[in-house]
Amino acid sequence: MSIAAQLVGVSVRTNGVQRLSPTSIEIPAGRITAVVGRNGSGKSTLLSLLAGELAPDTGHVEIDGLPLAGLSTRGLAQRRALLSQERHVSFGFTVENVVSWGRVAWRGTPRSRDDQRVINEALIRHDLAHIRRRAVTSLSGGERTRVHLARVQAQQSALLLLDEADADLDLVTRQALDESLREHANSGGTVIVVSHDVARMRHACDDVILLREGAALLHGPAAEGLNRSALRDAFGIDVPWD
Amino acid sequence: MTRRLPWVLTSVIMLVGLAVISAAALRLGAAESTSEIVMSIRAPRVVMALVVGMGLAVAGVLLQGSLRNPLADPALVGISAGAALGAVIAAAVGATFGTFATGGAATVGAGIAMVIVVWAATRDGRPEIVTLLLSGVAVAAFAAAVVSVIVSLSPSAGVRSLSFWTSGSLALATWEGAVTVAVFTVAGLAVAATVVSSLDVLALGDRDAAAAGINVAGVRYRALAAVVLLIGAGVAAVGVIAFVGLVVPHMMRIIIGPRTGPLVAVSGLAGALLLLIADTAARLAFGPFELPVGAVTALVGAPVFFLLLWRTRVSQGGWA
Repeated sequence: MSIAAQLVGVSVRTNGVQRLSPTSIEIPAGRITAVVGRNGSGKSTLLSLLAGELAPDTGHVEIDGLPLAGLSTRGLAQRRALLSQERHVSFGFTVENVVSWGRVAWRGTPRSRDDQRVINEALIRHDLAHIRRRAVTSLSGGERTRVHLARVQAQQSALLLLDEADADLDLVTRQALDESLREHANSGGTVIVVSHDVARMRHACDDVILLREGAALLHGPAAEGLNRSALRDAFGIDVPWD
Repeated sequence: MTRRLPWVLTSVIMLVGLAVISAAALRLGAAESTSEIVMSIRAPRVVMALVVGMGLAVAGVLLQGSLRNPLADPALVGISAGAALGAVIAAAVGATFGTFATGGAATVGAGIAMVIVVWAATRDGRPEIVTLLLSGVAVAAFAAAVVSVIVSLSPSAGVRSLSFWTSGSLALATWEGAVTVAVFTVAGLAVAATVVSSLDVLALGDRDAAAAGINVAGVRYRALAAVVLLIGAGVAAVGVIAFVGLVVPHMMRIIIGPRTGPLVAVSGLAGALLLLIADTAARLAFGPFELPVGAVTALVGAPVFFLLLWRTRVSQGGWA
């Protein structure tokens, strides 16, 4: 199994608080990995490290065997995409405009020849083709989510990071999100999801990383790892769990 | 579907409007249209209106896009007042109006005001709009106060009247002044051209724009540098003209949509047209008395600002 991303002896300390104890993690390619834990357990820190937004105090982070520290903003964007909870777009850009921003990372490269084809495919895949000229500011919450999913898909990065991207989605939109993540993984991509929807993660994800107070308690298959005793360790309470 | 006009067609309409209004502005006036009056008084004034209006409107587009906010205007955030202070200081120490020296000093003043306002409003690497507008008020008030002190104490007739600096006037436009402003405007447009295609993506918010591959700080600071170049020399030549930079981009966004590249082109032309119309109206409406052009733009612009404020507040569900 090939490694999509890894943390090698990484630790982070900000304002005197240990956000992440020295940690080494290998994220397998072609799989969906959930990062689960309480607020402040280090989930967002872990994701920011993998996104290259945060530099570790010790150790280093790699994507595809390349140290992130040596990559430019664009180099990073060609290798990983990020979907956050942010759905707000300033000004009334059209759906197609916003999806086309997924191609910024490939400007001036031979792959930019595919821009229009990739954008069209993403619009069709996320059922946006008929509203491609609508202003994003006029869309419903679910439609906006699909616009950002299409944008991130158009970025064509192998590694997809989701930072609580499901936070304000209803059941239907969460299911659509999970389907498109599965599709990404099936086509060889890798997905890392930070989410509080633990019950859903068990079914939607292949692997789980369980964090507590900046340390990884567990890293393994989600179906086995997300059990009552592991959750008690991570959250410190008895979680109703079947 | 959102109905929008193609930007090329809109530009052509603006260009026709510019040609018609320019021709009218050159012919109309209290005095007889001798070639002397047309060439040495009206023509530089028309050119000045065009370049200053263009600079103000394009600066508005860049400011609003880089700060992700439709309420930003060079005068409202204090940059124009900083430019006025720079120009007045230069004039007080002997520089002549409408020259490169006062234009350059005003550009430095605009830059200092920009740095202060943006620094004060930046939190977690991102400028916050309410603080930005409030810091703008503070910087503008302070700069205007220093301008009024210098104007009051100055024995030099060259420093001219206070109302010139606070409401703006094109009455004293010269060829040298118009050419100076044009040079700075071209420099500002050249800097702007390097960021227009990236500026759109900032609408995602800093984090998502960076993840998409945009160097957010670099794009934002280059856009703001272009604003300083577009504003400074114009203020030195004609004083502070508010609301053109606010109203024009907003109206053009409704007509052609928000993409920065087309918006810069169309707003530049529309700003030139609007200021030319406003100045011609200021000159002719109550002839032989002349209104300050800044008063004319404020009469139209302030209500629009109020509406915009209202709508933004409703759409954001309040400020705090």
